[in-house]
Amino acid sequence: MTAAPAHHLVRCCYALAASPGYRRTKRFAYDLLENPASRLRPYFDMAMCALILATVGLIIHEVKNPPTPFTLVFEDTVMYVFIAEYLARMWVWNDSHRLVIEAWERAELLGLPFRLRPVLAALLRQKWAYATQPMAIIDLLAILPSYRPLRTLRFFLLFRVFKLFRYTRSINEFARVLAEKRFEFYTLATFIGFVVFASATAIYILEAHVETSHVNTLYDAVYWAVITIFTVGYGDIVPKTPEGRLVAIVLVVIGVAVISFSTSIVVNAFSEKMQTMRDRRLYADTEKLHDYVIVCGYGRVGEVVVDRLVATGTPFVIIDRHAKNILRAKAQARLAICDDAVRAELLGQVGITRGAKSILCVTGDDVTNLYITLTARQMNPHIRIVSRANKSETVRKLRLAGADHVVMPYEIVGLMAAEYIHQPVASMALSGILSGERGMAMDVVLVAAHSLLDGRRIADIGFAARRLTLFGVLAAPGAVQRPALIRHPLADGRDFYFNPPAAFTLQAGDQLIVLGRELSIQHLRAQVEASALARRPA
Amino acid sequence: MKRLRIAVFGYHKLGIEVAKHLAPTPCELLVIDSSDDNLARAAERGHATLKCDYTDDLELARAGIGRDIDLIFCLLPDEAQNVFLIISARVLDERLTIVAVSDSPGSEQKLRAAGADKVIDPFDIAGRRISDLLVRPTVVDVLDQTVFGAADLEIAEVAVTREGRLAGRRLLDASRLAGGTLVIVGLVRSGLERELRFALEAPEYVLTPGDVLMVVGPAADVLAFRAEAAAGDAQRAI
Repeated sequence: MTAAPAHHLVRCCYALAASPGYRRTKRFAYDLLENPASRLRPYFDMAMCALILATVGLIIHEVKNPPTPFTLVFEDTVMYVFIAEYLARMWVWNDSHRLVIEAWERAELLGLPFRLRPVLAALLRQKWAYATQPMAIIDLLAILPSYRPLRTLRFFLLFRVFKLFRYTRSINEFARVLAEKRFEFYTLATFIGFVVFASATAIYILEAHVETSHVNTLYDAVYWAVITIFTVGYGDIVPKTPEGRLVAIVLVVIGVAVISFSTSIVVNAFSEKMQTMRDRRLYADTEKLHDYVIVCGYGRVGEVVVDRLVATGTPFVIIDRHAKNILRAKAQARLAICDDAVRAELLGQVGITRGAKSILCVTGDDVTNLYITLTARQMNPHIRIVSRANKSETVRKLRLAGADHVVMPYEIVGLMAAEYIHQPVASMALSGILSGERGMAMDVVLVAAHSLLDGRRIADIGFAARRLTLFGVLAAPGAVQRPALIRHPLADGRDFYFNPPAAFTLQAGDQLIVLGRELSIQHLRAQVEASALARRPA
Repeated sequence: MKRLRIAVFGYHKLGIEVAKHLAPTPCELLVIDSSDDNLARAAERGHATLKCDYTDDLELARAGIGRDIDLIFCLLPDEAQNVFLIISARVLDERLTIVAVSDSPGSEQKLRAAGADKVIDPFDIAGRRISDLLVRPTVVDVLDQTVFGAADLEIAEVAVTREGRLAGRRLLDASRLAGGTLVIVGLVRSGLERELRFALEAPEYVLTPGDVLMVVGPAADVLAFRAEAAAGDAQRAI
């Protein structure tokens, strides 16, 4: 009966699935070996490259020198590292225990007896799929020659050089680009094979019986044909008969054509792929950013926003469909991708679900802005979306699509105009303060629990001495109403107390909106944080 | 007080917005365009309209420039047209206030050189606003919902007059006079320097007639403060 071992296996698999330690270990191994977004992986790759180069150096050294005990120990250590890596890669390739559990649950559900053999076969099939990958085969070939009875296979140690492919991104890209031209290369190879075969046969038939000729075997003939068609022409074998020379003439002409054709395939493949390769580099750059802003559209509005993002040190990535705008951004060394932000795939690649904090849809076209807004909202329900509307009808549509804020340049002009003609100074001043001109700013200071602000009255804090003006207090969510002259309930349910009286008491979680020099605000904020840490009850 | 007479040249994207926001304010508005279609749309929305060819000085004069128009907005769709209009208007009236809108990076200098007093850059403003939303979302939210929103708070300018109670006081005391409900944000000193100074930078500054204070507070209190600033002593004398 296979029932007993099968049950043990299933129980074992459930235990593995439930164990957080196992999951953590596997996760770590995945991060180290495979995860392209992992931070550990580059270091691991570099270490492996160094190890490989060291062993290859050792092999070269041993050609003329006898091995020392140290080199032998080193060889063995490296081999164990390689074996461990091979097995670890096989381990993280798939989740075998899950396969067993699925099979078990399916059997349970359908009321069928659980049979071990098909499950094990499926497991082996999956691992076999791993082992037959080109990279896995190279890994294996790099390990095998270290096994002592197979020492004659030392030649295969050179496969360790190929192992370097695994750890370098650019070589991988090179291979991928060439792989896309598979059809052209097949055609070319077939053609070359045919020409080599025909000319080798011809020269063999024509010259094998000639006394002075060096073509003695068919292998000689093939060697000559290959050396000639690739225009190397060592000259160790030369045709002696006029018929043989005619074959050589034809072969050299075809050879030049073959070489130029293959060059053009490679060049073409790269020129086609260069843009996407560059873009991939850009995506890799965005992966390093955190809490960044995606700016869709680098027109007039986009440029103003980005200028100020640069000034405040906020990281960002620009997407624009027009090459002209992208050139302008790149001239200022800004991270910019020339593509259509309408594509959901692109938004995913720049990390809308990963590290992005906000997305700005500020192209000049309302239809595009609306579409990007909708896509972004579907992909990430929590991201902050700011959209630009050029027509007033679009404002409501953008809000429906999920924009948090809608900015309308033309409406702003209207508002500004109305404000300006009646109160030129005030309207300018407020916008100036908001954007932090001349070092003055309006900003938020959080009342941290147990800090010097928590539980204090406004009068005791001494805003005037700090060279700050208290504009108002935004009460903590759910806070009890406090007596104050002017209270405004905001849309999110919090109360805003404008210019609260001296007896007003602050609570933890309140946000002060203060006006003053940026330095003074930062100083107050630092003091609040320091006092919150110092007075925190143990 | 005499109502401001304003002419808006060009009733396109921008002109529509500007006219819409100006209409409810206390001023006399006149929409001027050379196209009958645009004028018909303006008339539909209840604006006073006039058909006028801006290249002809006689027609401009007939529209009231140089006579009773105080301020014009140049919102024609083409920058060259705007520059032409600004120069024509400036020639007709030295004291006219001319507001223009720039639509490309270099155009502000050109419009100013032509004689515009104020150039609004919509893209610059929109860009600033977007970055404000990103950098200080809470502040923008609060201001939007209170000062710029439906709430009773407003931002206002109060002039210091010779006969008012503010002249001769320190800035510090002026804020006490405001009754504790207003916040004095800053002031513009009388004279040539039209730059805003912040109240907390110079609390000891003594106010002189001609200064303009910028205050924020509940609308009723702002009105009261303004009245007091304008004629405090005069009222007491009566």
